[in-house]
Amino acid sequence: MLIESHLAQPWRESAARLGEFLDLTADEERCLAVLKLLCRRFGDHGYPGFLKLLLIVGESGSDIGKQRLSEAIALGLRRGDVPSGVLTSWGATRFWAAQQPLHSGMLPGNSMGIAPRRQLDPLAYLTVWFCQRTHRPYLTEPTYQNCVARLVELFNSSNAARQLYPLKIEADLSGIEGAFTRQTRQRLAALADSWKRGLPIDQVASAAAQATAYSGEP
Amino acid sequence: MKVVPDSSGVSALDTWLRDAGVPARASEQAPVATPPAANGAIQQPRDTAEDLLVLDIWSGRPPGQLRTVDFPALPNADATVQHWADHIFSPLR
Repeated sequence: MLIESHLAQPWRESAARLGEFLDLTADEERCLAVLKLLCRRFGDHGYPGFLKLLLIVGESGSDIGKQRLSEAIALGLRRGDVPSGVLTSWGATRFWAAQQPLHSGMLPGNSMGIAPRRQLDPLAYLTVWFCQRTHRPYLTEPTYQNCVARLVELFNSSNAARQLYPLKIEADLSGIEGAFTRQTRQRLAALADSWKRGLPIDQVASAAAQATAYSGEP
Repeated sequence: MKVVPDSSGVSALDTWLRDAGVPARASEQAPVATPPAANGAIQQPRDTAEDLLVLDIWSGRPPGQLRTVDFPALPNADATVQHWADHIFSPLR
């Protein structure tokens, strides 16, 4: 379809440039630096665009590109410096939903007039987007499951990322009390556990998507 | 396909990734979607950013063939990370 082609062309071109960079660059420090700068270019509301580029690289035929991207993510995981995106924490949604200027009186006294926000790595971002109330409309389950499967497959291109990412998720779950709703925690825990156990990618994504029938927050 | 590109020079980024909290033309064209059943949430507009995630970028090409894309000369091997980030991002502006 012509419209789809028109819409897809800039993303295909951007991903192709990223692919060329990855093919040319064996230095994981440099790869991570470019990924972080690129991520910042998308701004606070643009992180799904960064994820789209990762997904396209994951679909590409370049095994070396996928491995280098995943090695750079693994380096970020080791440093606590993965390119990340911003979503409101679940208690702050009302400030965004009101679509009116914030003022300090709307917020708890220690909030400095800023809606609480969280920096989230790719899989945590998708999970929070899917099942927590944030400033974004909810992500649907088919898209969540599909994107989780594709990203896990991409990150499995690096042994380091495959080993570190589930551990990072578990560390976040044990170390950031109150950052996630119960439902988000259950899904991330199921994702990390099934990934660590080496289950097939579809089962990892399915475990995250179907981890709970619980409805409601927190 | 639910999002129609704006012919008035709106960037690829703005077509899909505007502030999710602010209504805009493309999001008004999107149908109301049912949120995940597990959320028990009220109906809300579908996020155009989700449409981006599921966008088929291959458009009839063999999936995975990024190398068939033509673009201007690559930065030099010693280009800065800033230069590379700009080069990669520029088609989306």
